[in-house]
Amino acid sequence: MLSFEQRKDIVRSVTQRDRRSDFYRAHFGLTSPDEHLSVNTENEWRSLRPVTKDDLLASPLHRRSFLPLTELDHVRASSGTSGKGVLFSPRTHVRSLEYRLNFHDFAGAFMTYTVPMMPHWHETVYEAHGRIPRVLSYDPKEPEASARIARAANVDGLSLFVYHVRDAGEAFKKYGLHEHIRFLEITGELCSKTLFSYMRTTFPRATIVQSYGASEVEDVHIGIPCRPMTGEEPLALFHEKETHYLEIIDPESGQVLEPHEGTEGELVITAYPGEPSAFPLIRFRIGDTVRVHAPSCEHGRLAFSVVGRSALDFLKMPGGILRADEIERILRLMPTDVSDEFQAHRYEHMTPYGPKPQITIAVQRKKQTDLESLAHTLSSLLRVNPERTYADGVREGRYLPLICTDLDTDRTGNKHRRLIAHQ
Amino acid sequence: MEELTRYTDAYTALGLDIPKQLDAPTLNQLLIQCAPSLMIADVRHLPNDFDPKNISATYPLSMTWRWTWLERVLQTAPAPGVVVRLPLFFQLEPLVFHACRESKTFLFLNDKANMPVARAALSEEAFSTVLTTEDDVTGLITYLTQQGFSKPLHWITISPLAPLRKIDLGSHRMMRSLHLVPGLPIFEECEDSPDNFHLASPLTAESENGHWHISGYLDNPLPLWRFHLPFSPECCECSCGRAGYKLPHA
Repeated sequence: MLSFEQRKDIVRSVTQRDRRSDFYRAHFGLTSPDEHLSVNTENEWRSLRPVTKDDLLASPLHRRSFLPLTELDHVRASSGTSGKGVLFSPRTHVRSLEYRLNFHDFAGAFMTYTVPMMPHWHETVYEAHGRIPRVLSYDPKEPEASARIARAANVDGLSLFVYHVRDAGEAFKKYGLHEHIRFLEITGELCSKTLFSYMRTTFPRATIVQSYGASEVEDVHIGIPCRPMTGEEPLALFHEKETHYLEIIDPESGQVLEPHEGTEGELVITAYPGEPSAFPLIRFRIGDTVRVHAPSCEHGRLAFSVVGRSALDFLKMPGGILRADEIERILRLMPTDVSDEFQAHRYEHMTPYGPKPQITIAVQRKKQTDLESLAHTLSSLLRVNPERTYADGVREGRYLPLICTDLDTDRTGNKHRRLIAHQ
Repeated sequence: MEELTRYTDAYTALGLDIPKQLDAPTLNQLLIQCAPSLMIADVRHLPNDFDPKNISATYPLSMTWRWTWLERVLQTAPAPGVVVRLPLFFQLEPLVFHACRESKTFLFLNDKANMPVARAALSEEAFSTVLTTEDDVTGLITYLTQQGFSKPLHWITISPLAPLRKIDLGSHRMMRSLHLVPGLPIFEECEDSPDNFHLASPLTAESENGHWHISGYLDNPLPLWRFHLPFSPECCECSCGRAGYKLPHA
């Protein structure tokens, strides 16, 4: 992990007057005579105002980047589905991924979606380790075409977004490729036990690893997977990376929590891959809740697991997302039947065609509205993307039918949460 | 004669007889025939069709091939950001990335269905170019116009080897490339003279009785030998000094 001296140097560097971006000077409230910001103690470090997505959104890409735009490698966008604007995060070349060779030899061809790493980044990793960079792109819109291309290229490793696993699994089974896969990396969301069980059965020879990244973090991944997924809880366990400094804070007070076993709180990440860096990230509130685990491995370091989002405003679904404000909008179309208060849960259930999500929406009925017919109406109106409704997803065989229940007036522990994703 | 030997050797190395001429169905048959050899070759695999439903094999592209036309076109872009809306199954991300590196531009991958994110990117000062398929252009321009977006954009398109389609561009600019399979350019629009096209640099053309054949891509395991063009281009003088072609319109 980044030492205090390293972090102190990063702060000094990004707040200097002559830097291309004045993002951190403005963020930390430096005035023009200030040469730079000095952080002299851990307490001063902890008092640095964390960066939020809103802070980043307020600064357009061309002003935020610490490098001239002509030196960027690529740009990633946050989902743009949280109700906030779309955040474009600049990246330079990939670094610090040597740990991946502990899990796979990368000798054969590899097929990857663009999250968390672009195909050309995978190529760079291959080349850096003396491998021929035979990397192909997985197209979630065309799983069968992807499988046919994978067969032609003799692909034996995959890197997929969690919600693409089922479609990819079915396509690879159709073309008899699933037993050929030796490595499967999943990312982008928490993996449920149901999905893990599906992957274990579908790709019996594969070492399965979950990676954890975020589009705002240039120096992906966040944390090094401690071990392959075996079904042992927690399903995915991570260690801190040398180029990162992770803190856990109380999401309400912002106070830093000591990382003892069992500590749970919101992750704050400082990430700096070294120069060149398009955007050194200092104390970024990533919005994920993590839990600290005692070292029980040969790595001998504290480990953490990801518990979920600290404040969800959307639920990811295959082929789209379900937004809290969209549910609210639909409920407001039925003011005589229900209030706009609700709690939506996403569960995942195994079916003969792999795991599928199911949404349950708990609503506050104003009269004895039939819950089944309400579910039917909601399903046909709720959009998961600009062109598709939840009901379309059910018809296409991607989701299980939506269910409505009564809202429990005593939602202890979760009373403020409108969206809950169950693992 | 020496050149024919190089083509023959390439085909023989894959266990194939060199055909008298190639067309799309013959090429597909050959690709299926040599698929076991290509499976273990150190090549880039390009889909053999623009339609994902029709992909039955892959075309092997040399690992060292670089798309120099794209590099040159990107160098003329007013801003360095390139919104790339090509289908992922085209397998072009690394090739586009290399072109971006050479032209000091950078890429942003945008799902074709996600037009709001495309608009958000193009609203940023950092972006002015869209690399996409020809059939995406009209839809995105219509969407952007409806959203009140007025910045003139620099469009670069990839389309199948077929007569050109008329697209109403308004104040936008467009540069077109026609590919045999996605990632294998055959004709590329002249950077100096719009509407004039040139053969992609490793290709040569010959015409006989109104039929045109192209050959080239000798660095690829399966080079194109006398590929029969599905239309007849018209030779023209191009202000850039290279042999130019006018392509038919649909």
